[in-house]
Amino acid sequence: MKCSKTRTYLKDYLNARLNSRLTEQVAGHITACNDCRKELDFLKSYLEQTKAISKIPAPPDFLSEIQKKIRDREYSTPSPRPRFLPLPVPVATLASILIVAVFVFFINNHFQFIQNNQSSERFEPPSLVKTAPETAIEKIIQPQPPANGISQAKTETSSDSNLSRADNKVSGTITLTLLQKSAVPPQMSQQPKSPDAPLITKRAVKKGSGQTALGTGKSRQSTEISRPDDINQVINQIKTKVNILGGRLENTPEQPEDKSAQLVITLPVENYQSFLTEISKYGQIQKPYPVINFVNKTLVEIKLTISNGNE
Amino acid sequence: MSKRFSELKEPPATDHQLILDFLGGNPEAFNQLLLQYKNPVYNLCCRMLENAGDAEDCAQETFIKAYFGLKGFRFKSSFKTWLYRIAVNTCKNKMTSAEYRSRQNIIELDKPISHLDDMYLEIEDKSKSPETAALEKETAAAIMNAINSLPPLEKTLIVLCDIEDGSYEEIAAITGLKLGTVKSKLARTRHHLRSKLEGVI
Repeated sequence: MKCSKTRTYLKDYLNARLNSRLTEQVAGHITACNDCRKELDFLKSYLEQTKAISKIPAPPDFLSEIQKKIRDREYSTPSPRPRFLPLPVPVATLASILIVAVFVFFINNHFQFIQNNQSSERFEPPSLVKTAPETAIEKIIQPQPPANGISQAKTETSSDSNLSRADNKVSGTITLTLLQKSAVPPQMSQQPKSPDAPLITKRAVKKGSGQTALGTGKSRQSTEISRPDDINQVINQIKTKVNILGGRLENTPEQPEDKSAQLVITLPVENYQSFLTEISKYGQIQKPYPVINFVNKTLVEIKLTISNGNE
Repeated sequence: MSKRFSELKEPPATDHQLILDFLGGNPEAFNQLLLQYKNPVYNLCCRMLENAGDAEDCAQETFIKAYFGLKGFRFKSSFKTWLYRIAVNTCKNKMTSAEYRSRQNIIELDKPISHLDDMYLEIEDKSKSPETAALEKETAAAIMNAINSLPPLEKTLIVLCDIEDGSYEEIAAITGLKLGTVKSKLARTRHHLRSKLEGVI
């Protein structure tokens, strides 16, 4: 038996816990090995000394201290938190994926809903941005209650409900008050910058850039207007303009006797601004302009009420 | 006087029954277990930590852990082994804590030779003469200093085997080491102690 092996048995050898075969082997090695014999002698004295060391009793209040600490921890220990996912890992993973998918779906729909609401409230048609000044369009669609007494401009703010029925058409009402030929000096149509020009001309001059729905001074200068004598002539000319702009007249107005008439006109949306410019040459368009939402629309239905200004 | 580790071998049915009673809702059963094991556990902690305050803290923590962990006791080992394993691990955690080690360094500077209280070195046999008792006390101090200078694992093995008089099987169960490892490590550690205590024993 080697020394290292013998030394693992020395304590059991001293305490007589080895079987006879191991006892003989250890005894034989110790007899032959001086170092292991010294080790055995040391172990014998060492164990006697360690056995003599007294055991230290626990303090008198040891038990009460433990009981107090246990009580404190029992009262302060929060109730066990429910496990977030008390499920097997694959099920928990699938459940997590499902929850995330539902969440993403909800968020996506929610934002689409918000975008639809926002887009229905604001008018930013790309085509009109190209064809007409943006500020003029914004002025046109400003919702305002009728204020002055020239005529009743019926603003169809309820056009949204109509939109739901007519998918690609939007409608609005415009009142045009004709200017009497006697009220406008003949040169005014060609000299719009005169300070004596009527309101429509003044507005066109003030704006300068021509960004009003009433048309630009430049276009007024370049267009020879033969102001009609009566309302029927205006209606006929507007019919012609509508045909030129790709629209059509939906009704046949009764022949008024210089009073008022109502036309129902359908136009492509992109020509709405041009139409306003054209009819503004015949008179003053009643403000405020109707709120018309052009988003996703291709046609605009205009209920144009024409009245004489001296009424 | 407290019992030795080897003298605590009560019939397993007793501990077993007390545990079952406690788990059945009788808190008094745990108090009986506590009374039975408080001295050996406290003594083990004292020998491991060399400081009465730390030993008391660790011994109390051991029983508190046992109280709250007894629901998970599987009866695969004896309650004593299970309790000692908790105590040893609690002491090891304490010994490896930065606060404990820094405090040990300060103590060593203050008391380089022996920093053990007299209570730790009391000799059991009161019939011995004062000279013999004083000599044995001095020897015990030297032995404890040598043991305290050992690394934590070797110190744990020596305390469990030579001071608490535990069997190799119990020590293997407490420390989680293999039986052969326990034996060989103990043999090497004792050989190391022999060189340290040369001239004393």
